[in-house]
Amino acid sequence: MLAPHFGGIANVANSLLVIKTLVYEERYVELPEFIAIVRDDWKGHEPLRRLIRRRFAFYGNDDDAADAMVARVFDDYTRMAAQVKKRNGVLRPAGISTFGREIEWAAPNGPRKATHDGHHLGDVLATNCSPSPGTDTKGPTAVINSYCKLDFTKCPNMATFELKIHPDTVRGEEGVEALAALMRGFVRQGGMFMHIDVVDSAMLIDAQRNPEKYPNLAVRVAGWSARFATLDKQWQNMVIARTQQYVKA
Amino acid sequence: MALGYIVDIQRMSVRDGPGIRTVIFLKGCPLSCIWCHNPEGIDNHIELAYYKDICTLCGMCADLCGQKAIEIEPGNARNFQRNKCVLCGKCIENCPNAALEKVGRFVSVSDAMREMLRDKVFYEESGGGEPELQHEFSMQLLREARKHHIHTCIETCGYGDVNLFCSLAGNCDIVLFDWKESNPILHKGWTGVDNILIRKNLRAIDEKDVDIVLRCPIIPGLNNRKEHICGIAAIANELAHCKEIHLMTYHPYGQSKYARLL
Repeated sequence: MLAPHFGGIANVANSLLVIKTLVYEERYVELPEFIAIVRDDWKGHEPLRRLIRRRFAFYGNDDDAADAMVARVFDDYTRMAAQVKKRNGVLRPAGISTFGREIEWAAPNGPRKATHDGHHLGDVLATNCSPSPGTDTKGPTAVINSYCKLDFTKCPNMATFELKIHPDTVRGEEGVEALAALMRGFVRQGGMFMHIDVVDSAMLIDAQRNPEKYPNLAVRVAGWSARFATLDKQWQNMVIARTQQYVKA
Repeated sequence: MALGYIVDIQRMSVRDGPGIRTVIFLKGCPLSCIWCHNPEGIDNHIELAYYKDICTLCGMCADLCGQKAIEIEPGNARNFQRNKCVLCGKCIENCPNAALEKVGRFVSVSDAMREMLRDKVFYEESGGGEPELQHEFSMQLLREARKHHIHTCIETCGYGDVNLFCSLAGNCDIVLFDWKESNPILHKGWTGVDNILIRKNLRAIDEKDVDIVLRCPIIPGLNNRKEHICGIAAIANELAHCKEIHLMTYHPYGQSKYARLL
Protein backbone atom coordinates (compact mmCIF):
# COMPACT_ATOMS: atom_id res chain seq x y z
CA MET A 1 0.00 0.00 0.00
CA LEU A 2 1.26 3.43 -0.90
CA ALA A 3 -1.15 6.18 0.15
CA PRO A 4 -1.36 9.81 -0.97
CA HIS A 5 -1.84 12.10 2.03
CA PHE A 6 -3.10 15.66 1.92
CA GLY A 7 -1.77 18.30 4.32
CA GLY A 8 -3.11 21.76 5.14
CA ILE A 9 -6.71 21.14 4.13
CA ALA A 10 -7.99 23.71 6.65
CA ASN A 11 -5.80 26.45 5.19
CA VAL A 12 -6.66 25.60 1.59
CA ALA A 13 -10.37 25.77 2.37
CA ASN A 14 -10.11 28.87 4.57
CA SER A 15 -8.12 30.66 1.86
CA LEU A 16 -10.66 29.74 -0.79
CA LEU A 17 -13.42 31.04 1.48
CA VAL A 18 -11.62 34.37 1.86
CA ILE A 19 -11.07 34.66 -1.91
CA LYS A 20 -14.68 33.71 -2.64
CA THR A 21 -15.99 36.32 -0.22
CA LEU A 22 -13.62 39.25 -0.69
CA VAL A 23 -12.86 38.92 -4.40
CA TYR A 24 -15.97 37.44 -5.95
CA GLU A 25 -18.84 38.34 -3.65
CA GLU A 26 -17.91 41.68 -2.13
CA ARG A 27 -15.39 42.83 -4.77
CA TYR A 28 -13.41 44.29 -1.91
CA VAL A 29 -10.14 43.52 -3.67
CA GLU A 30 -9.17 42.38 -7.20
CA LEU A 31 -7.70 38.90 -7.51
CA PRO A 32 -4.34 39.89 -9.07
CA GLU A 33 -3.86 42.54 -6.38
CA PHE A 34 -4.77 40.10 -3.61
CA ILE A 35 -2.38 37.49 -5.00
CA ALA A 36 0.40 40.08 -5.11
CA ILE A 37 -0.26 41.17 -1.53
CA VAL A 38 -0.05 37.60 -0.25
CA ARG A 39 3.01 36.76 -2.38
CA ASP A 40 4.69 39.76 -0.80
CA ASP A 41 3.87 38.36 2.67
CA TRP A 42 1.25 41.07 3.40
CA LYS A 43 3.90 43.80 3.40
CA GLY A 44 2.14 47.14 3.85
CA HIS A 45 -1.21 45.38 4.20
CA GLU A 46 -1.14 44.27 7.79
CA PRO A 47 -4.59 45.81 8.52
CA LEU A 48 -6.14 43.70 5.75
CA ARG A 49 -4.48 40.56 7.12
CA ARG A 50 -5.76 41.27 10.61
CA LEU A 51 -9.21 42.09 9.32
CA ILE A 52 -9.33 38.71 7.59
CA ARG A 53 -8.17 36.92 10.73
CA ARG A 54 -10.80 38.52 12.93
CA ARG A 55 -13.70 38.72 10.52
CA PHE A 56 -13.97 35.19 9.19
CA ALA A 57 -15.29 32.18 11.03
CA PHE A 58 -12.98 29.50 9.70
CA TYR A 59 -13.09 25.71 9.79
CA GLY A 60 -13.42 24.49 13.39
CA ASN A 61 -16.18 26.85 14.54
CA ASP A 62 -19.18 24.80 13.42
CA ASP A 63 -19.84 27.50 10.85
CA ASP A 64 -21.73 26.07 7.89
CA ALA A 65 -20.14 28.25 5.19
CA ALA A 66 -16.59 27.50 6.31
CA ASP A 67 -17.29 23.82 6.81
CA ALA A 68 -18.97 23.52 3.42
CA MET A 69 -15.79 24.83 1.81
CA VAL A 70 -13.68 22.23 3.64
CA ALA A 71 -16.11 19.53 2.58
CA ARG A 72 -15.83 20.68 -1.03
CA VAL A 73 -12.03 20.53 -0.97
CA PHE A 74 -12.21 17.18 0.83
CA ASP A 75 -14.65 15.75 -1.71
CA ASP A 76 -12.60 16.98 -4.67
CA TYR A 77 -9.40 15.54 -3.24
CA THR A 78 -10.84 12.16 -2.34
CA ARG A 79 -12.57 11.90 -5.72
CA MET A 80 -9.31 12.60 -7.53
CA ALA A 81 -7.37 10.19 -5.35
CA ALA A 82 -9.96 7.47 -5.92
CA GLN A 83 -9.44 7.63 -9.67
CA VAL A 84 -6.23 5.65 -9.24
CA LYS A 85 -7.19 2.87 -6.85
CA LYS A 86 -4.09 0.82 -7.56
CA ARG A 87 -0.79 1.36 -9.23
CA ASN A 88 1.46 -1.58 -10.18
CA GLY A 89 -0.69 -3.79 -7.97
CA VAL A 90 -0.17 -1.49 -4.96
CA LEU A 91 -3.25 -0.01 -3.25
CA ARG A 92 -3.50 3.79 -3.02
CA PRO A 93 -6.13 4.74 -0.41
CA ALA A 94 -6.49 8.48 0.26
CA GLY A 95 -5.61 9.96 3.63
CA ILE A 96 -5.26 13.36 5.28
CA SER A 97 -2.32 14.09 7.54
CA THR A 98 0.81 16.14 7.87
CA PHE A 99 2.91 13.79 10.03
CA GLY A 100 4.72 16.71 11.58
CA ARG A 101 5.91 17.93 8.17
CA GLU A 102 4.04 21.20 8.70
CA ILE A 103 7.31 22.25 10.30
CA GLU A 104 9.53 21.77 7.26
CA TRP A 105 6.79 23.15 5.00
CA ALA A 106 6.79 26.31 7.10
CA ALA A 107 10.49 27.03 6.50
CA PRO A 108 10.78 30.69 5.46
CA ASN A 109 13.01 29.79 2.51
CA GLY A 110 10.81 26.86 1.48
CA PRO A 111 8.32 26.70 -1.36
CA ARG A 112 5.25 27.59 0.70
CA LYS A 113 4.46 31.28 0.84
CA ALA A 114 2.03 33.25 2.99
CA THR A 115 -1.60 32.15 2.68
CA HIS A 116 -4.80 34.03 1.88
CA ASP A 117 -6.39 33.16 5.22
CA GLY A 118 -4.04 35.59 6.93
CA HIS A 119 -0.94 33.51 7.65
CA HIS A 120 2.53 34.87 7.21
CA LEU A 121 5.37 33.20 5.42
CA GLY A 122 6.95 30.87 7.98
CA ASP A 123 3.82 30.30 10.07
CA VAL A 124 3.10 26.70 10.92
CA LEU A 125 -0.27 25.87 9.38
CA ALA A 126 -2.94 23.33 10.29
CA THR A 127 -1.81 19.89 11.36
CA ASN A 128 -3.58 16.87 9.86
CA CYS A 129 -7.33 17.51 9.60
CA SER A 130 -7.32 20.04 12.48
CA PRO A 131 -8.39 23.66 12.33
CA SER A 132 -5.66 26.17 11.55
CA PRO A 133 -3.85 27.19 14.76
CA GLY A 134 -5.70 29.88 16.70
CA THR A 135 -8.77 30.03 14.47
CA ASP A 136 -11.16 27.81 16.41
CA THR A 137 -12.83 29.90 19.08
CA LYS A 138 -16.12 28.18 19.81
CA GLY A 139 -14.82 25.33 21.93
CA PRO A 140 -14.32 21.58 21.55
CA THR A 141 -17.88 20.68 20.58
CA ALA A 142 -17.72 23.11 17.64
CA VAL A 143 -14.43 21.61 16.43
CA ILE A 144 -15.89 18.12 16.57
CA ASN A 145 -19.02 19.23 14.73
CA SER A 146 -16.98 20.87 11.98
CA TYR A 147 -14.79 17.80 11.53
CA CYS A 148 -17.74 15.41 11.53
CA LYS A 149 -19.38 17.19 8.60
CA LEU A 150 -16.85 15.41 6.35
CA ASP A 151 -17.72 12.01 4.89
CA PHE A 152 -14.90 9.78 6.04
CA THR A 153 -16.02 6.77 4.05
CA LYS A 154 -14.24 8.57 1.20
CA CYS A 155 -10.95 8.70 3.05
CA PRO A 156 -9.96 5.13 3.93
CA ASN A 157 -6.40 5.89 5.02
CA MET A 158 -7.56 8.05 7.94
CA ALA A 159 -7.94 11.73 8.72
CA THR A 160 -7.14 12.66 12.28
CA PHE A 161 -7.58 15.91 14.14
CA GLU A 162 -6.29 17.11 17.47
CA LEU A 163 -8.46 18.41 20.25
CA LYS A 164 -6.58 20.18 22.96
CA ILE A 165 -8.37 20.32 26.26
CA HIS A 166 -7.32 22.17 29.35
CA PRO A 167 -6.92 19.97 32.45
CA ASP A 168 -9.58 22.01 34.32
CA THR A 169 -12.19 20.91 31.82
CA VAL A 170 -11.77 17.23 32.52
CA ARG A 171 -10.99 17.49 36.21
CA GLY A 172 -13.01 15.39 38.64
CA GLU A 173 -16.11 13.32 38.05
CA GLU A 174 -17.89 16.04 36.07
CA GLY A 175 -14.83 16.23 33.87
CA VAL A 176 -14.86 12.53 33.11
CA GLU A 177 -18.55 12.80 32.29
CA ALA A 178 -17.82 15.68 29.93
CA LEU A 179 -15.02 13.77 28.21
CA ALA A 180 -17.27 10.74 27.75
CA ALA A 181 -20.01 12.97 26.35
CA LEU A 182 -17.53 14.49 23.88
CA MET A 183 -16.52 11.05 22.66
CA ARG A 184 -20.12 9.86 22.40
CA GLY A 185 -21.04 12.93 20.37
CA PHE A 186 -18.01 12.35 18.14
CA VAL A 187 -18.93 8.73 17.45
CA ARG A 188 -22.63 9.47 16.93
CA GLN A 189 -21.73 11.96 14.22
CA GLY A 190 -19.57 9.51 12.30
CA GLY A 191 -16.19 10.78 13.46
CA MET A 192 -13.16 8.76 12.43
CA PHE A 193 -10.06 9.62 14.43
CA MET A 194 -9.90 12.10 17.29
CA HIS A 195 -6.70 12.75 19.14
CA ILE A 196 -7.26 14.34 22.54
CA ASP A 197 -4.49 16.24 24.31
CA VAL A 198 -5.16 17.18 27.90
CA VAL A 199 -2.47 19.72 28.36
CA ASP A 200 -1.87 23.04 29.97
CA SER A 201 0.10 25.29 27.63
CA ALA A 202 1.41 27.24 30.63
CA MET A 203 3.06 24.04 31.79
CA LEU A 204 4.58 23.41 28.38
CA ILE A 205 5.95 26.95 28.24
CA ASP A 206 7.45 26.37 31.67
CA ALA A 207 8.91 23.07 30.46
CA GLN A 208 10.47 24.87 27.53
CA ARG A 209 12.16 27.35 29.87
CA ASN A 210 13.11 24.85 32.55
CA PRO A 211 13.63 21.49 30.87
CA GLU A 212 15.36 20.13 33.97
CA LYS A 213 12.05 20.30 35.86
CA TYR A 214 10.27 18.06 33.35
CA PRO A 215 12.77 15.41 32.23
CA ASN A 216 10.08 12.80 31.62
CA LEU A 217 7.25 14.87 30.19
CA ALA A 218 6.12 12.86 27.19
CA VAL A 219 4.21 14.36 24.30
CA ARG A 220 2.09 12.05 22.23
CA VAL A 221 0.55 13.05 18.96
CA ALA A 222 -1.59 10.18 17.67
CA GLY A 223 1.03 7.46 17.08
CA TRP A 224 3.90 9.86 17.54
CA SER A 225 5.58 10.09 20.92
CA ALA A 226 8.55 12.04 22.21
CA ARG A 227 10.00 13.46 25.37
CA PHE A 228 9.26 17.18 25.33
CA ALA A 229 12.69 18.13 26.64
CA THR A 230 14.39 16.41 23.70
CA LEU A 231 12.51 18.34 21.01
CA ASP A 232 14.10 21.35 19.42
CA LYS A 233 12.54 24.74 20.04
CA GLN A 234 10.56 24.88 16.81
CA TRP A 235 8.92 21.55 17.54
CA GLN A 236 8.21 22.57 21.10
CA ASN A 237 6.59 25.76 19.84
CA MET A 238 4.42 23.77 17.48
CA VAL A 239 3.22 21.54 20.29
CA ILE A 240 2.41 24.62 22.38
CA ALA A 241 0.75 26.49 19.53
CA ARG A 242 -1.68 23.78 18.51
CA THR A 243 -4.92 25.42 19.43
CA GLN A 244 -5.64 25.06 23.05
CA GLN A 245 -9.26 24.59 23.94
CA TYR A 246 -9.60 26.34 27.21
CA VAL A 247 -12.93 26.02 28.89
CA LYS A 248 -13.26 28.06 32.00
CA ALA A 249 -14.14 25.96 35.01
CA MET B 1 -41.38 35.61 19.90
CA ALA B 2 -39.56 37.34 22.72
CA LEU B 3 -36.06 38.73 22.29
CA GLY B 4 -33.42 38.04 24.88
CA TYR B 5 -30.71 40.45 25.83
CA ILE B 6 -27.52 38.47 26.27
CA VAL B 7 -23.81 38.76 26.83
CA ASP B 8 -22.92 35.54 25.08
CA ILE B 9 -23.81 31.96 24.37
CA GLN B 10 -21.12 29.65 25.67
CA ARG B 11 -20.93 26.14 24.34
CA MET B 12 -19.39 23.25 26.18
CA SER B 13 -19.71 24.54 29.67
CA VAL B 14 -18.97 21.76 32.14
CA ARG B 15 -19.47 23.30 35.58
CA ASP B 16 -22.97 24.77 35.31
CA GLY B 17 -25.10 21.71 35.94
CA PRO B 18 -24.53 18.09 34.94
CA GLY B 19 -22.82 17.11 31.68
CA ILE B 20 -21.87 19.26 28.71
CA ARG B 21 -24.16 22.27 28.53
CA THR B 22 -24.75 25.33 26.41
CA VAL B 23 -25.13 28.36 28.64
CA ILE B 24 -27.00 31.51 27.64
CA PHE B 25 -25.49 34.37 29.64
CA LEU B 26 -28.27 36.92 30.04
CA LYS B 27 -27.39 40.56 30.56
CA GLY B 28 -28.86 42.51 33.45
CA CYS B 29 -28.85 41.65 37.15
CA PRO B 30 -30.71 43.26 40.09
CA LEU B 31 -27.73 42.70 42.38
CA SER B 32 -24.30 44.27 42.26
CA CYS B 33 -22.11 41.93 44.28
CA ILE B 34 -18.77 43.49 45.08
CA TRP B 35 -17.00 40.26 44.08
CA CYS B 36 -18.87 39.83 40.77
CA HIS B 37 -16.59 38.11 38.24
CA ASN B 38 -18.81 38.79 35.22
CA PRO B 39 -19.34 42.55 35.60
CA GLU B 40 -20.41 42.81 31.95
CA GLY B 41 -23.56 40.93 32.97
CA ILE B 42 -24.78 43.48 35.52
CA ASP B 43 -25.85 46.43 33.41
CA ASN B 44 -28.77 45.95 31.03
CA HIS B 45 -27.45 48.37 28.42
CA ILE B 46 -24.98 47.79 25.62
CA GLU B 47 -21.46 48.42 26.80
CA LEU B 48 -18.17 48.85 25.03
CA ALA B 49 -15.12 46.85 25.92
CA TYR B 50 -11.61 48.03 25.05
CA TYR B 51 -8.63 45.69 25.15
CA LYS B 52 -5.76 47.99 25.91
CA ASP B 53 -3.02 45.42 25.39
CA ILE B 54 -4.17 44.51 21.90
CA CYS B 55 -4.62 48.12 20.72
CA THR B 56 -1.75 49.44 18.61
CA LEU B 57 -3.02 53.05 18.72
CA CYS B 58 -3.26 52.98 14.92
CA GLY B 59 -5.98 55.66 15.00
CA MET B 60 -8.41 53.99 12.62
CA CYS B 61 -11.22 54.31 15.19
CA ALA B 62 -10.59 58.00 15.72
CA ASP B 63 -10.65 58.65 11.96
CA LEU B 64 -13.93 56.81 11.55
CA CYS B 65 -15.77 58.24 14.54
CA GLY B 66 -18.45 60.67 13.37
CA GLN B 67 -18.95 61.98 16.90
CA LYS B 68 -15.29 62.76 17.53
CA ALA B 69 -15.50 60.75 20.72
CA ILE B 70 -12.05 59.21 20.30
CA GLU B 71 -8.69 60.90 20.47
CA ILE B 72 -5.35 59.21 20.00
CA GLU B 73 -2.19 60.49 21.56
CA PRO B 74 0.25 58.77 19.20
CA GLY B 75 2.33 56.14 20.90
CA ASN B 76 0.79 56.93 24.23
CA ALA B 77 -2.92 56.64 24.90
CA ARG B 78 -6.40 56.42 23.50
CA ASN B 79 -8.91 58.78 25.07
CA PHE B 80 -12.55 57.97 24.74
CA GLN B 81 -15.50 60.13 25.73
CA ARG B 82 -18.35 57.79 26.45
CA ASN B 83 -20.95 60.58 26.61
CA LYS B 84 -20.32 61.54 22.97
CA CYS B 85 -20.53 57.95 21.70
CA VAL B 86 -23.80 56.91 20.02
CA LEU B 87 -22.84 53.22 19.75
CA CYS B 88 -22.88 53.24 15.94
CA GLY B 89 -20.33 50.42 16.01
CA LYS B 90 -18.14 51.69 13.15
CA CYS B 91 -14.98 51.64 15.25
CA ILE B 92 -15.71 48.10 16.41
CA GLU B 93 -16.33 46.68 12.93
CA ASN B 94 -13.24 48.31 11.49
CA CYS B 95 -10.69 47.87 14.25
CA PRO B 96 -7.97 45.78 12.56
CA ASN B 97 -6.81 44.41 15.90
CA ALA B 98 -10.15 43.42 17.38
CA ALA B 99 -9.34 45.60 20.38
CA LEU B 100 -12.93 46.85 20.63
CA GLU B 101 -16.01 44.86 21.32
CA LYS B 102 -19.67 45.52 21.84
CA VAL B 103 -20.89 43.73 24.94
CA GLY B 104 -24.52 42.72 24.77
CA ARG B 105 -26.76 41.73 21.90
CA PHE B 106 -30.34 40.78 21.24
CA VAL B 107 -31.13 37.24 20.28
CA SER B 108 -34.44 35.64 19.39
CA VAL B 109 -35.68 32.45 20.98
CA SER B 110 -35.33 30.62 17.68
CA ASP B 111 -31.74 31.81 17.10
CA ALA B 112 -30.74 30.84 20.63
CA MET B 113 -32.44 27.51 20.16
CA ARG B 114 -30.64 26.88 16.87
CA GLU B 115 -27.30 27.53 18.55
CA MET B 116 -28.24 25.17 21.37
CA LEU B 117 -29.33 22.37 19.09
CA ARG B 118 -25.94 22.38 17.40
CA ASP B 119 -24.56 20.58 20.43
CA LYS B 120 -27.57 18.42 21.17
CA VAL B 121 -25.60 15.33 20.24
CA PHE B 122 -23.28 15.99 23.19
CA TYR B 123 -25.80 16.62 25.88
CA GLU B 124 -28.53 15.16 27.63
CA GLU B 125 -28.86 18.82 28.72
CA SER B 126 -28.66 22.67 28.50
CA GLY B 127 -29.40 25.96 30.40
CA GLY B 128 -29.24 29.84 31.14
CA GLY B 129 -28.20 33.21 33.21
CA GLU B 130 -30.32 35.85 35.24
CA PRO B 131 -33.67 34.76 33.94
CA GLU B 132 -36.21 36.58 36.10
CA LEU B 133 -35.45 39.98 34.52
CA GLN B 134 -36.05 38.52 31.07
CA HIS B 135 -38.88 36.33 32.08
CA GLU B 136 -40.70 36.16 28.73
CA PHE B 137 -37.59 35.21 26.74
CA SER B 138 -36.38 32.73 29.34
CA MET B 139 -39.77 31.09 29.58
CA GLN B 140 -40.10 30.58 25.83
CA LEU B 141 -36.54 29.29 25.59
CA LEU B 142 -37.06 26.77 28.37
CA ARG B 143 -40.29 25.55 26.79
CA GLU B 144 -38.63 25.19 23.39
CA ALA B 145 -35.68 23.32 24.90
CA ARG B 146 -38.04 20.94 26.65
CA LYS B 147 -39.85 20.29 23.39
CA HIS B 148 -36.50 19.03 22.09
CA HIS B 149 -36.01 16.90 25.21
CA ILE B 150 -33.11 19.01 26.38
CA HIS B 151 -32.38 18.98 30.09
CA THR B 152 -32.81 22.54 31.40
CA CYS B 153 -31.27 24.58 34.22
CA ILE B 154 -31.56 28.16 35.28
CA GLU B 155 -29.08 29.87 37.53
CA THR B 156 -30.58 32.74 39.49
CA CYS B 157 -29.68 35.24 42.18
CA GLY B 158 -33.20 34.71 43.49
CA TYR B 159 -34.16 38.36 43.68
CA GLY B 160 -37.44 39.24 41.99
CA ASP B 161 -41.11 38.41 41.65
CA VAL B 162 -42.09 35.16 43.31
CA ASN B 163 -44.68 34.21 40.70
CA LEU B 164 -42.22 34.66 37.86
CA PHE B 165 -39.69 32.49 39.67
CA CYS B 166 -42.22 29.76 40.25
CA SER B 167 -43.29 29.68 36.61
CA LEU B 168 -39.66 29.54 35.45
CA ALA B 169 -38.83 26.81 37.96
CA GLY B 170 -41.82 24.83 36.73
CA ASN B 171 -40.08 24.54 33.34
CA CYS B 172 -36.68 23.47 34.65
CA ASP B 173 -35.08 20.21 35.67
CA ILE B 174 -32.69 21.91 38.05
CA VAL B 175 -32.62 25.39 39.58
CA LEU B 176 -29.14 26.59 40.49
CA PHE B 177 -29.94 29.06 43.24
CA ASP B 178 -27.32 31.46 44.58
CA TRP B 179 -27.03 31.74 48.33
CA LYS B 180 -24.37 34.36 48.85
CA GLU B 181 -24.68 35.44 52.48
CA SER B 182 -26.92 34.30 55.32
CA ASN B 183 -26.88 37.55 57.27
CA PRO B 184 -29.41 39.98 55.66
CA ILE B 185 -27.52 43.12 56.67
CA LEU B 186 -24.19 41.90 55.32
CA HIS B 187 -26.02 40.66 52.22
CA LYS B 188 -27.29 44.17 51.59
CA GLY B 189 -23.85 45.63 52.12
CA TRP B 190 -22.15 43.32 49.64
CA THR B 191 -24.77 42.84 46.96
CA GLY B 192 -26.97 45.92 47.23
CA VAL B 193 -30.08 44.05 48.40
CA ASP B 194 -30.94 42.05 51.51
CA ASN B 195 -31.71 38.36 51.34
CA ILE B 196 -35.22 38.31 52.82
CA LEU B 197 -37.02 38.21 49.48
CA ILE B 198 -34.41 35.78 48.15
CA ARG B 199 -35.07 33.39 51.04
CA LYS B 200 -38.80 33.66 50.46
CA ASN B 201 -38.40 32.88 46.75
CA LEU B 202 -36.16 29.92 47.52
CA ARG B 203 -38.84 28.41 49.73
CA ALA B 204 -41.51 29.04 47.11
CA ILE B 205 -39.45 27.29 44.43
CA ASP B 206 -38.88 24.39 46.80
CA GLU B 207 -42.62 23.83 46.85
CA LYS B 208 -42.59 23.52 43.06
CA ASP B 209 -41.06 20.07 43.27
CA VAL B 210 -37.95 20.93 41.26
CA ASP B 211 -34.38 19.93 42.15
CA ILE B 212 -32.40 22.74 43.74
CA VAL B 213 -28.64 23.20 43.85
CA LEU B 214 -27.40 25.90 46.21
CA ARG B 215 -24.53 27.85 44.66
CA CYS B 216 -22.45 29.58 47.31
CA PRO B 217 -19.52 31.78 46.31
CA ILE B 218 -17.05 31.76 49.17
CA ILE B 219 -15.20 35.05 49.30
CA PRO B 220 -12.11 35.14 51.54
CA GLY B 221 -12.44 37.75 54.28
CA LEU B 222 -16.14 38.33 53.62
CA ASN B 223 -18.40 35.32 53.89
CA ASN B 224 -16.01 32.52 54.80
CA ARG B 225 -17.32 32.77 58.34
CA LYS B 226 -18.62 29.96 60.49
CA GLU B 227 -22.04 31.64 60.86
CA HIS B 228 -22.54 31.79 57.10
CA ILE B 229 -21.44 28.18 56.54
CA CYS B 230 -23.88 27.14 59.29
CA GLY B 231 -26.47 29.36 57.61
CA ILE B 232 -26.00 27.48 54.32
CA ALA B 233 -26.45 24.17 56.12
CA ALA B 234 -29.55 25.45 57.95
CA ILE B 235 -31.29 26.64 54.80
CA ALA B 236 -30.37 23.46 52.93
CA ASN B 237 -31.96 21.46 55.75
CA GLU B 238 -35.18 23.44 55.49
CA LEU B 239 -35.54 22.59 51.81
CA ALA B 240 -37.16 19.38 50.62
CA HIS B 241 -35.48 19.38 47.19
CA CYS B 242 -31.96 20.62 47.78
CA LYS B 243 -29.82 18.00 46.01
CA GLU B 244 -26.39 19.57 46.21
CA ILE B 245 -24.50 22.50 47.69
CA HIS B 246 -21.71 23.95 45.59
CA LEU B 247 -19.13 25.94 47.50
CA MET B 248 -17.47 28.00 44.82
CA THR B 249 -13.96 29.27 45.34
CA TYR B 250 -13.32 32.90 44.63
CA HIS B 251 -10.95 33.72 41.81
CA PRO B 252 -9.64 37.15 40.82
CA TYR B 253 -9.94 36.71 37.02
CA GLY B 254 -12.97 39.00 36.95
CA GLN B 255 -10.85 41.98 37.88
CA SER B 256 -9.32 42.07 34.42
CA LYS B 257 -12.83 42.63 33.07
CA TYR B 258 -13.60 45.75 35.11
CA ALA B 259 -10.73 47.65 33.57
CA ARG B 260 -11.86 46.98 30.03
CA LEU B 261 -15.47 48.14 30.33
CA LEU B 262 -15.80 51.68 29.05
